[in-house]
Amino acid sequence: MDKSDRPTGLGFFGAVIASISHEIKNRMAIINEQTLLIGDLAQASVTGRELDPGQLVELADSVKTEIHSADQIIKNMNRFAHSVDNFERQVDLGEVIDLTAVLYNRLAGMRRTQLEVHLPPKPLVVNTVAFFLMNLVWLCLDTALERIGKNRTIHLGCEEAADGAIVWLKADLIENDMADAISQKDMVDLMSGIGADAVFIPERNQVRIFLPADTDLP
Amino acid sequence: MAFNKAGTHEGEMIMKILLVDDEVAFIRALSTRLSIRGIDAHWAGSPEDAIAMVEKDAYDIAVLDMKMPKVDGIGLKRLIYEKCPDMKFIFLTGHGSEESFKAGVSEAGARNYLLKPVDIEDLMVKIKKIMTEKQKENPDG
Repeated sequence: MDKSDRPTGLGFFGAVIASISHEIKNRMAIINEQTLLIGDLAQASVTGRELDPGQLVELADSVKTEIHSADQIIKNMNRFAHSVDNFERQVDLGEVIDLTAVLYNRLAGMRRTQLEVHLPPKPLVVNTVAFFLMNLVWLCLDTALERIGKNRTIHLGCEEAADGAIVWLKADLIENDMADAISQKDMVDLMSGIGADAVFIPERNQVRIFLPADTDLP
Repeated sequence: MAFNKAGTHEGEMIMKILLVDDEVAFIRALSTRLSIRGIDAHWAGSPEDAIAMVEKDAYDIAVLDMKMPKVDGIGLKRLIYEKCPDMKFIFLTGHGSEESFKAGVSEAGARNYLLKPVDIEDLMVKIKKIMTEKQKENPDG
């Protein structure tokens, strides 16, 4: 991916909404097809085709499942939309990381990659701009996905640190290096926006983003 | 659409279609709807399964989703075409983007490209047109 194409700010917002709309469209296509099939089976039974009640029950259950999935996707979209409320505020870092992973999951799945989220046992509250942090993590995920090796699992988590908190991302990378990625202008700008700093630890294949506890955000 | 007692149209020629989409619930339902209309419809939930099926059996048309993990519809079309040069293709996509449309048109032609949700009557028209053309190309079958 050309680094100038990486989504930041409004571009990030658009990329996430585009992905969500695709997910919802997939769910709607399934609901549409299955309800039309129920209609077809009913109509065919009028002309003599045997109607299988078990098949109808299975279809109805599947429609219910898809509606529940679509509802969950919309809830996540709503959570994302509210990430820009009261721009700078106290947030539960675990919730922010979890939502970012949920939103990214479809893109990872398209590249046959799993996301594993590791959350702390209790809320980890920091003062930050959730939207910028999600954007930063999204770019890290994009970079990891480009460089991932045979072990196609990306681990994402957060933990308490002295004077703040750490968001970390770990993956088995082909190039074993994300140091260049985290020094790119888009990442650096996002980190400035939330007073964060990032390092890549090659022996752990890990990016660690440090968020200070008290920040006078610009 | 009316169905005869057997659940298929009177005088329908039987066409063998392979539908490929990673959304299995969608492709199963679509496959069944086509079967009710007299099409010998089969489905695969992944490009790998689709390749295995075309190696084992002969299909007239492949209906491919444009967006699938790892191998997209265009990539799969090329893989299938290497093994089955007589196969014809129709693409389905949930994307209304201009980029997707251009890619689909370039590979399959505008007439063999459909947006989801699929109107089954539109799909049937395209299938019948392709089969008519196929029969003209190979009048001896």
